[in-house]
Amino acid sequence: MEPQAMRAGRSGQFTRLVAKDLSLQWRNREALYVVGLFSLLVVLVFAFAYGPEFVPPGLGRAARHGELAKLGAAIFWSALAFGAVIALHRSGEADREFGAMGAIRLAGVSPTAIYFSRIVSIFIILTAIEAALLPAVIVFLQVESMTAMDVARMAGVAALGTCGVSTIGAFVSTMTASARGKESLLSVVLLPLVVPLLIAATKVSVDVFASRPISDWRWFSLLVAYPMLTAGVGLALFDSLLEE
Amino acid sequence: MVRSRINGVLGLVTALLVMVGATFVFVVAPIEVEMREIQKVFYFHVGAAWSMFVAFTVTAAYGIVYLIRRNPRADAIAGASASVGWVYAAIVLLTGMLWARSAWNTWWNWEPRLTSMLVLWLMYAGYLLFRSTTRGDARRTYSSVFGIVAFVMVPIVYYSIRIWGSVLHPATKTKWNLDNRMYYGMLLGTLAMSAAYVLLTRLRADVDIAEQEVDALRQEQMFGEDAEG
Repeated sequence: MEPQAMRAGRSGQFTRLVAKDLSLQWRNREALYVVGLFSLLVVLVFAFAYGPEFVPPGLGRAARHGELAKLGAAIFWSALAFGAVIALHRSGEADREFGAMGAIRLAGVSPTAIYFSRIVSIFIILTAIEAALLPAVIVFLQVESMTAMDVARMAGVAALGTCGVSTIGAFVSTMTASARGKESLLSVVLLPLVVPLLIAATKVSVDVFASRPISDWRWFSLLVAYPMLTAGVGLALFDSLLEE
Repeated sequence: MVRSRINGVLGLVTALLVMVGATFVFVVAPIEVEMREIQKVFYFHVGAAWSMFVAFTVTAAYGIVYLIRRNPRADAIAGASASVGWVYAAIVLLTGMLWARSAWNTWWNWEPRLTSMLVLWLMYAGYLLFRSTTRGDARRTYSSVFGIVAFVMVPIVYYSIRIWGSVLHPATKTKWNLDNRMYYGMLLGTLAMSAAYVLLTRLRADVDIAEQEVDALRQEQMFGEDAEG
Protein backbone atom coordinates (compact mmCIF):
# COMPACT_ATOMS: atom_id res chain seq x y z
CA MET A 1 0.00 0.00 0.00
CA GLU A 2 1.22 3.46 -0.79
CA PRO A 3 2.14 5.53 2.28
CA GLN A 4 -0.33 8.29 3.06
CA ALA A 5 2.31 11.00 2.57
CA MET A 6 3.01 9.81 -0.99
CA ARG A 7 -0.63 10.28 -1.88
CA ALA A 8 -0.86 13.72 -0.31
CA GLY A 9 1.16 15.47 -3.06
CA ARG A 10 3.77 18.11 -2.35
CA SER A 11 1.41 20.86 -1.28
CA GLY A 12 -0.48 18.47 0.98
CA GLN A 13 2.79 17.27 2.54
CA PHE A 14 3.87 20.86 3.01
CA THR A 15 0.65 21.94 4.80
CA ARG A 16 0.69 18.87 7.04
CA LEU A 17 4.33 19.44 8.00
CA VAL A 18 3.72 23.11 8.81
CA ALA A 19 0.67 22.12 10.89
CA LYS A 20 2.79 19.46 12.64
CA ASP A 21 5.58 21.96 13.45
CA LEU A 22 3.18 24.60 14.71
CA SER A 23 1.14 22.19 16.82
CA LEU A 24 4.38 20.88 18.39
CA GLN A 25 5.37 24.45 19.20
CA TRP A 26 1.91 25.19 20.54
CA ARG A 27 1.87 22.14 22.81
CA ASN A 28 5.16 23.26 24.25
CA ARG A 29 4.28 26.96 24.21
CA GLU A 30 5.90 27.72 27.58
CA ALA A 31 9.23 27.40 25.81
CA LEU A 32 8.00 29.85 23.18
CA TYR A 33 7.13 32.35 25.91
CA VAL A 34 10.69 31.96 27.18
CA VAL A 35 12.04 32.95 23.76
CA GLY A 36 9.69 35.97 23.63
CA LEU A 37 10.61 37.06 27.13
CA PHE A 38 14.32 36.59 26.43
CA SER A 39 14.08 38.82 23.34
CA LEU A 40 12.28 41.48 25.38
CA LEU A 41 15.01 41.29 28.02
CA VAL A 42 17.64 41.81 25.32
CA VAL A 43 15.79 45.00 24.33
CA LEU A 44 15.83 46.15 27.96
CA VAL A 45 19.51 45.34 28.44
CA PHE A 46 20.44 47.29 25.31
CA ALA A 47 18.10 50.13 26.27
CA PHE A 48 19.92 50.38 29.60
CA ALA A 49 23.35 50.00 28.02
CA TYR A 50 22.98 52.66 25.33
CA GLY A 51 19.39 53.77 25.37
CA PRO A 52 17.72 57.16 24.87
CA GLU A 53 19.55 58.62 27.88
CA PHE A 54 22.77 58.49 25.90
CA VAL A 55 21.41 60.63 23.06
CA PRO A 56 22.97 64.10 23.52
CA PRO A 57 20.40 66.40 25.18
CA GLY A 58 21.05 69.48 23.02
CA LEU A 59 19.75 67.92 19.80
CA GLY A 60 16.72 69.28 17.96
CA ARG A 61 13.55 67.20 17.69
CA ALA A 62 14.33 65.77 14.23
CA ALA A 63 17.97 65.00 15.04
CA ARG A 64 16.99 63.30 18.30
CA HIS A 65 14.42 61.23 16.45
CA GLY A 66 17.08 60.24 13.92
CA GLU A 67 19.43 59.07 16.70
CA LEU A 68 16.68 57.09 18.41
CA ALA A 69 15.74 55.50 15.09
CA LYS A 70 19.31 54.20 14.74
CA LEU A 71 19.19 52.71 18.23
CA GLY A 72 15.72 51.27 17.71
CA ALA A 73 16.64 49.53 14.45
CA ALA A 74 19.90 48.12 15.84
CA ILE A 75 18.28 46.81 19.02
CA PHE A 76 15.26 45.33 17.22
CA TRP A 77 17.43 43.19 14.94
CA SER A 78 19.92 42.25 17.65
CA ALA A 79 17.11 41.05 19.92
CA LEU A 80 15.57 39.08 17.05
CA ALA A 81 18.92 37.45 16.20
CA PHE A 82 19.43 36.26 19.78
CA GLY A 83 15.83 35.11 20.09
CA ALA A 84 16.12 33.25 16.76
CA VAL A 85 19.08 31.22 18.05
CA ILE A 86 16.98 29.82 20.92
CA ALA A 87 13.86 29.34 18.80
CA LEU A 88 15.82 27.51 16.08
CA HIS A 89 17.57 25.27 18.54
CA ARG A 90 14.20 24.12 19.80
CA SER A 91 12.74 23.49 16.36
CA GLY A 92 15.82 21.49 15.26
CA GLU A 93 15.62 19.44 18.45
CA ALA A 94 11.98 18.44 17.93
CA ASP A 95 12.74 16.86 14.56
CA ARG A 96 15.64 14.82 15.89
CA GLU A 97 13.86 13.38 18.92
CA PHE A 98 12.94 9.71 18.62
CA GLY A 99 14.15 9.68 15.00
CA ALA A 100 11.17 11.79 13.88
CA MET A 101 12.96 13.07 10.78
CA GLY A 102 13.88 9.53 9.74
CA ALA A 103 10.24 8.53 10.02
CA ILE A 104 9.11 11.51 7.95
CA ARG A 105 11.64 10.60 5.25
CA LEU A 106 10.52 6.95 5.32
CA ALA A 107 6.95 8.10 4.72
CA GLY A 108 8.16 9.37 1.35
CA VAL A 109 7.87 13.09 2.06
CA SER A 110 9.87 15.19 -0.42
CA PRO A 111 12.90 17.13 0.95
CA THR A 112 11.58 20.29 -0.75
CA ALA A 113 8.35 20.04 1.25
CA ILE A 114 10.34 19.46 4.46
CA TYR A 115 12.63 22.43 3.78
CA PHE A 116 9.84 24.86 2.90
CA SER A 117 7.64 23.71 5.78
CA ARG A 118 10.52 24.39 8.16
CA ILE A 119 11.05 27.85 6.65
CA VAL A 120 7.35 28.68 7.01
CA SER A 121 7.02 27.40 10.58
CA ILE A 122 10.19 29.22 11.70
CA PHE A 123 8.92 32.34 9.90
CA ILE A 124 5.58 32.19 11.78
CA ILE A 125 7.29 31.72 15.16
CA LEU A 126 9.76 34.55 14.58
CA THR A 127 6.96 36.83 13.36
CA ALA A 128 5.09 36.15 16.61
CA ILE A 129 8.22 37.17 18.55
CA GLU A 130 8.58 40.31 16.41
CA ALA A 131 4.97 41.27 17.11
CA ALA A 132 5.95 41.54 20.77
CA LEU A 133 9.36 43.09 20.07
CA LEU A 134 8.32 45.98 17.84
CA PRO A 135 5.99 47.72 20.35
CA ALA A 136 8.63 47.21 23.07
CA VAL A 137 11.30 48.86 20.93
CA ILE A 138 8.98 51.75 19.99
CA VAL A 139 8.08 52.38 23.64
CA PHE A 140 11.42 51.77 25.40
CA LEU A 141 13.57 53.47 22.79
CA GLN A 142 11.04 56.30 22.52
CA VAL A 143 10.72 56.21 18.71
CA GLU A 144 7.17 57.35 19.27
CA SER A 145 6.77 59.63 16.28
CA MET A 146 6.35 56.57 14.04
CA THR A 147 3.03 56.69 12.20
CA ALA A 148 0.78 53.71 11.45
CA MET A 149 2.19 53.80 7.91
CA ASP A 150 5.74 53.51 9.28
CA VAL A 151 4.72 50.53 11.41
CA ALA A 152 3.26 48.88 8.31
CA ARG A 153 6.49 49.56 6.40
CA MET A 154 8.47 48.13 9.30
CA ALA A 155 6.28 45.02 9.22
CA GLY A 156 7.24 44.62 5.55
CA VAL A 157 10.96 45.05 6.24
CA ALA A 158 10.71 42.68 9.22
CA ALA A 159 8.97 40.10 7.02
CA LEU A 160 11.80 40.25 4.46
CA GLY A 161 14.48 39.97 7.14
CA THR A 162 12.67 37.15 8.90
CA CYS A 163 12.33 35.35 5.60
CA GLY A 164 16.14 35.39 5.30
CA VAL A 165 16.70 34.26 8.88
CA SER A 166 14.22 31.41 8.30
CA THR A 167 15.79 30.19 5.04
CA ILE A 168 19.23 30.06 6.69
CA GLY A 169 17.91 28.87 10.05
CA ALA A 170 15.99 25.96 8.52
CA PHE A 171 19.10 24.18 7.32
CA VAL A 172 21.54 25.38 9.99
CA SER A 173 19.31 23.96 12.75
CA THR A 174 19.01 20.68 10.84
CA MET A 175 22.78 20.58 10.44
CA THR A 176 23.80 21.37 14.01
CA ALA A 177 21.18 19.08 15.60
CA SER A 178 23.58 16.14 15.28
CA ALA A 179 26.69 17.90 16.64
CA ARG A 180 28.11 17.86 20.14
CA GLY A 181 27.49 21.09 22.09
CA LYS A 182 24.79 21.97 19.60
CA GLU A 183 23.31 24.91 21.57
CA SER A 184 26.46 26.98 21.39
CA LEU A 185 27.43 25.64 17.96
CA LEU A 186 24.14 26.77 16.44
CA SER A 187 24.86 30.37 17.47
CA VAL A 188 28.41 30.47 16.07
CA VAL A 189 27.25 28.89 12.81
CA LEU A 190 24.02 30.85 12.41
CA LEU A 191 25.08 34.36 13.40
CA PRO A 192 27.91 34.88 10.85
CA LEU A 193 25.60 33.56 8.12
CA VAL A 194 22.83 36.01 9.01
CA VAL A 195 25.11 39.01 9.65
CA PRO A 196 24.96 40.36 6.04
CA LEU A 197 21.18 40.14 6.25
CA LEU A 198 21.06 41.79 9.68
CA ILE A 199 23.26 44.66 8.48
CA ALA A 200 20.98 45.23 5.46
CA ALA A 201 17.82 44.93 7.57
CA THR A 202 19.18 47.36 10.18
CA LYS A 203 20.22 49.92 7.56
CA VAL A 204 16.79 49.83 5.92
CA SER A 205 14.97 49.84 9.29
CA VAL A 206 16.79 53.00 10.43
CA ASP A 207 15.03 54.93 7.64
CA VAL A 208 11.69 53.35 8.50
CA PHE A 209 12.04 54.07 12.23
CA ALA A 210 13.01 57.66 11.36
CA SER A 211 9.88 58.01 9.17
CA ARG A 212 12.02 58.71 6.09
CA PRO A 213 11.84 57.16 2.63
CA ILE A 214 14.48 54.46 2.09
CA SER A 215 17.72 56.28 1.30
CA ASP A 216 19.95 53.48 0.03
CA TRP A 217 18.27 50.92 -2.19
CA ARG A 218 21.41 48.74 -2.32
CA TRP A 219 20.68 47.57 1.24
CA PHE A 220 17.09 46.89 0.31
CA SER A 221 18.26 44.85 -2.70
CA LEU A 222 20.53 42.82 -0.42
CA LEU A 223 17.60 42.30 1.95
CA VAL A 224 15.57 40.86 -0.95
CA ALA A 225 18.38 39.00 -2.73
CA TYR A 226 20.01 37.30 0.27
CA PRO A 227 16.94 35.22 1.27
CA MET A 228 16.43 34.19 -2.37
CA LEU A 229 20.09 33.19 -2.71
CA THR A 230 20.17 31.24 0.55
CA ALA A 231 16.81 29.59 -0.21
CA GLY A 232 18.22 28.50 -3.59
CA VAL A 233 21.37 27.06 -2.04
CA GLY A 234 19.36 25.52 0.80
CA LEU A 235 16.93 23.91 -1.61
CA ALA A 236 19.76 22.43 -3.66
CA LEU A 237 21.51 21.01 -0.61
CA PHE A 238 18.75 20.14 1.87
CA ASP A 239 18.35 16.67 0.40
CA SER A 240 21.99 15.89 1.30
CA LEU A 241 21.42 17.14 4.84
CA LEU A 242 18.51 14.78 5.35
CA GLU A 243 20.50 11.75 4.26
CA GLU A 244 22.46 11.78 7.52
CA MET B 1 55.71 6.95 -1.05
CA VAL B 2 54.92 8.92 -4.21
CA ARG B 3 52.80 11.30 -2.15
CA SER B 4 55.58 12.05 0.32
CA ARG B 5 57.99 12.59 -2.60
CA ILE B 6 55.56 15.08 -4.15
CA ASN B 7 55.24 16.78 -0.77
CA GLY B 8 59.05 16.93 -0.50
CA VAL B 9 59.36 18.59 -3.92
CA LEU B 10 56.52 20.97 -3.03
CA GLY B 11 58.27 21.82 0.23
CA LEU B 12 61.47 22.62 -1.64
CA VAL B 13 59.65 24.76 -4.20
CA THR B 14 57.81 26.59 -1.41
CA ALA B 15 61.02 27.23 0.53
CA LEU B 16 62.72 28.52 -2.61
CA LEU B 17 59.79 30.79 -3.48
CA VAL B 18 59.65 32.11 0.08
CA MET B 19 63.38 32.94 0.00
CA VAL B 20 63.30 34.61 -3.43
CA GLY B 21 60.03 36.38 -2.56
CA ALA B 22 61.40 37.64 0.77
CA THR B 23 64.55 38.90 -0.98
CA PHE B 24 62.43 40.79 -3.50
CA VAL B 25 60.10 42.18 -0.84
CA PHE B 26 62.74 43.23 1.69
CA VAL B 27 65.83 43.91 -0.44
CA VAL B 28 65.02 44.56 -4.11
CA ALA B 29 61.67 46.41 -3.90
CA PRO B 30 62.15 50.10 -3.05
CA ILE B 31 60.78 51.70 0.09
CA GLU B 32 57.48 53.39 -0.78
CA VAL B 33 57.53 57.18 -0.38
CA GLU B 34 54.33 57.68 1.58
CA MET B 35 53.93 54.56 3.70
CA ARG B 36 57.64 53.85 4.22
CA GLU B 37 58.50 50.37 5.62
CA ILE B 38 54.93 49.53 6.56
CA GLN B 39 54.12 49.25 2.83
CA LYS B 40 55.92 45.85 2.91
CA VAL B 41 52.79 44.53 4.63
CA PHE B 42 51.03 44.94 1.27
CA TYR B 43 52.94 41.98 -0.27
CA PHE B 44 51.73 39.64 2.46
CA HIS B 45 48.24 41.12 2.43
CA VAL B 46 47.68 40.61 -1.32
CA GLY B 47 49.33 37.17 -1.35
CA ALA B 48 47.29 35.93 1.61
CA ALA B 49 44.05 37.38 0.19
CA TRP B 50 44.55 35.66 -3.17
CA SER B 51 45.38 32.30 -1.54
CA MET B 52 42.42 32.68 0.81
CA PHE B 53 40.02 33.16 -2.12
CA VAL B 54 41.51 30.08 -3.81
CA ALA B 55 41.28 28.09 -0.56
CA PHE B 56 37.60 28.82 0.03
CA THR B 57 36.79 28.13 -3.63
CA VAL B 58 38.54 24.77 -3.33
CA THR B 59 36.56 24.03 -0.14
CA ALA B 60 33.25 24.69 -1.92
CA ALA B 61 34.33 22.78 -5.05
CA TYR B 62 35.47 19.71 -3.10
CA GLY B 63 32.28 19.97 -1.03
CA ILE B 64 30.32 19.54 -4.27
CA VAL B 65 32.62 16.67 -5.32
CA TYR B 66 32.03 14.96 -1.97
CA LEU B 67 28.26 15.32 -2.22
CA ILE B 68 28.30 13.74 -5.70
CA ARG B 69 30.94 11.03 -5.27
CA ARG B 70 30.94 10.46 -1.47
CA ASN B 71 34.71 10.19 -1.50
CA PRO B 72 36.17 10.84 2.01
CA ARG B 73 39.38 12.23 0.48
CA ALA B 74 37.38 15.04 -1.19
CA ASP B 75 35.96 16.00 2.20
CA ALA B 76 39.41 15.87 3.80
CA ILE B 77 40.76 18.23 1.11
CA ALA B 78 37.77 20.58 1.56
CA GLY B 79 38.33 20.70 5.33
CA ALA B 80 42.10 21.10 5.02
CA SER B 81 41.71 23.87 2.46
CA ALA B 82 39.28 25.71 4.74
CA SER B 83 41.60 25.51 7.73
CA VAL B 84 44.55 26.88 5.74
CA GLY B 85 42.25 29.48 4.14
CA TRP B 86 41.08 30.54 7.57
CA VAL B 87 44.66 31.14 8.74
CA TYR B 88 45.27 33.17 5.57
CA ALA B 89 42.09 35.13 6.27
CA ALA B 90 43.49 35.93 9.72
CA ILE B 91 46.73 37.11 8.06
CA VAL B 92 44.69 39.30 5.69
CA LEU B 93 42.83 40.84 8.63
CA LEU B 94 45.94 41.36 10.76
CA THR B 95 48.07 42.85 7.98
CA GLY B 96 45.07 44.99 7.01
CA MET B 97 44.92 46.29 10.58
CA LEU B 98 48.64 47.11 10.56
CA TRP B 99 48.13 49.03 7.33
CA ALA B 100 45.04 50.79 8.70
CA ARG B 101 46.90 51.89 11.83
CA SER B 102 49.64 53.41 9.76
CA ALA B 103 47.56 54.92 6.95
CA TRP B 104 44.38 56.02 8.71
CA ASN B 105 45.54 56.11 12.33
CA THR B 106 43.07 53.49 13.49
CA TRP B 107 43.27 49.72 13.89
CA TRP B 108 39.76 49.15 12.67
CA ASN B 109 37.31 50.83 10.38
CA TRP B 110 33.79 49.56 9.63
CA GLU B 111 34.10 49.99 5.88
CA PRO B 112 32.52 47.35 3.57
CA ARG B 113 35.66 45.35 2.79
CA LEU B 114 36.80 45.06 6.42
CA THR B 115 33.33 44.28 7.68
CA SER B 116 32.61 41.61 5.08
CA MET B 117 36.09 40.15 5.56
CA LEU B 118 35.50 39.82 9.31
CA VAL B 119 32.16 38.12 8.68
CA LEU B 120 33.86 35.71 6.26
CA TRP B 121 36.51 34.88 8.84
CA LEU B 122 33.82 34.24 11.46
CA MET B 123 31.87 32.01 9.06
CA TYR B 124 34.84 29.75 8.44
CA ALA B 125 35.63 29.78 12.17
CA GLY B 126 32.12 28.36 12.57
CA TYR B 127 32.86 25.86 9.79
CA LEU B 128 36.03 24.61 11.51
CA LEU B 129 34.29 24.44 14.92
CA PHE B 130 31.50 22.49 13.28
CA ARG B 131 33.96 20.00 11.82
CA SER B 132 35.62 19.52 15.17
CA THR B 133 32.35 18.70 16.94
CA THR B 134 30.90 16.16 14.51
CA ARG B 135 32.09 12.75 13.35
CA GLY B 136 31.76 10.31 10.48
CA ASP B 137 29.42 10.67 7.52
CA ALA B 138 27.38 13.40 9.23
CA ARG B 139 30.50 15.55 9.51
CA ARG B 140 31.45 14.98 5.88
CA THR B 141 28.02 15.72 4.46
CA TYR B 142 27.17 18.66 6.71
CA SER B 143 30.53 20.35 6.40
CA SER B 144 30.40 19.96 2.60
CA VAL B 145 27.04 21.72 2.65
CA PHE B 146 28.40 24.35 5.05
CA GLY B 147 31.46 24.94 2.83
CA ILE B 148 29.19 25.59 -0.15
CA VAL B 149 26.85 27.88 1.83
CA ALA B 150 29.68 29.90 3.40
CA PHE B 151 31.12 30.41 -0.09
CA VAL B 152 28.18 32.78 -0.74
CA MET B 153 30.14 35.33 1.29
CA VAL B 154 33.28 35.13 -0.89
CA PRO B 155 31.93 37.13 -3.87
CA ILE B 156 30.38 39.58 -1.40
CA VAL B 157 33.86 40.27 0.04
CA TYR B 158 35.37 40.47 -3.44
CA TYR B 159 32.78 42.89 -4.82
CA SER B 160 32.06 44.78 -1.56
CA ILE B 161 33.97 47.86 -2.70
CA ARG B 162 32.15 47.97 -6.02
CA ILE B 163 28.77 47.46 -4.36
CA TRP B 164 29.06 49.87 -1.45
CA GLY B 165 32.06 51.97 -2.43
CA SER B 166 34.88 52.88 -0.08
CA VAL B 167 37.27 55.75 0.24
CA LEU B 168 39.88 53.52 1.88
CA HIS B 169 40.24 50.36 -0.21
CA PRO B 170 40.84 50.32 -3.95
CA ALA B 171 38.49 48.00 -5.86
CA THR B 172 40.09 44.59 -6.45
CA LYS B 173 41.78 44.69 -9.83
CA THR B 174 43.98 42.61 -12.04
CA LYS B 175 46.08 45.41 -13.57
CA TRP B 176 48.40 47.31 -11.29
CA ASN B 177 50.22 50.57 -11.75
CA LEU B 178 53.29 49.67 -9.70
CA ASP B 179 57.05 50.01 -9.84
CA ASN B 180 58.33 46.86 -11.63
CA ARG B 181 60.31 45.69 -8.60
CA MET B 182 57.27 46.10 -6.38
CA TYR B 183 55.13 44.29 -8.93
CA TYR B 184 57.49 41.28 -9.01
CA GLY B 185 57.71 41.36 -5.21
CA MET B 186 53.94 41.11 -5.08
CA LEU B 187 53.88 38.36 -7.71
CA LEU B 188 56.55 36.30 -5.97
CA GLY B 189 54.95 36.85 -2.56
CA THR B 190 51.64 35.62 -3.95
CA LEU B 191 53.31 32.60 -5.58
CA ALA B 192 55.10 31.71 -2.33
CA MET B 193 51.87 32.01 -0.34
CA SER B 194 50.01 29.88 -2.93
CA ALA B 195 52.70 27.19 -2.90
CA ALA B 196 52.59 27.13 0.92
CA TYR B 197 48.81 26.83 0.68
CA VAL B 198 49.02 23.78 -1.61
CA LEU B 199 51.62 22.09 0.59
CA LEU B 200 49.82 22.79 3.89
CA THR B 201 46.48 21.67 2.46
CA ARG B 202 47.96 18.39 1.23
CA LEU B 203 49.61 17.72 4.59
CA ARG B 204 46.50 18.67 6.56
CA ALA B 205 44.32 16.47 4.36
CA ASP B 206 46.69 13.52 4.94
CA VAL B 207 46.49 14.08 8.71
CA ASP B 208 42.70 14.25 8.46
CA ILE B 209 42.52 10.94 6.57
CA ALA B 210 44.90 9.35 9.10
CA GLU B 211 42.74 10.64 11.98
CA GLN B 212 39.65 9.15 10.38
CA GLU B 213 41.41 5.79 9.97
CA VAL B 214 42.48 5.83 13.63
CA ASP B 215 38.90 6.68 14.60
CA ALA B 216 37.57 3.78 12.54
CA LEU B 217 40.15 1.34 14.03
CA ARG B 218 39.33 2.51 17.54
CA GLN B 219 35.62 1.89 16.94
CA GLU B 220 36.35 -1.51 15.46
CA GLN B 221 38.41 -2.39 18.50
CA MET B 222 35.67 -1.20 20.85
CA PHE B 223 33.02 -3.26 19.08
CA GLY B 224 35.39 -6.22 18.96
CA GLU B 225 35.88 -6.06 22.72
CA ASP B 226 32.13 -5.74 23.23
CA ALA B 227 31.54 -8.83 21.15
CA GLU B 228 34.10 -10.83 23.14
CA GLY B 229 32.71 -9.60 26.49
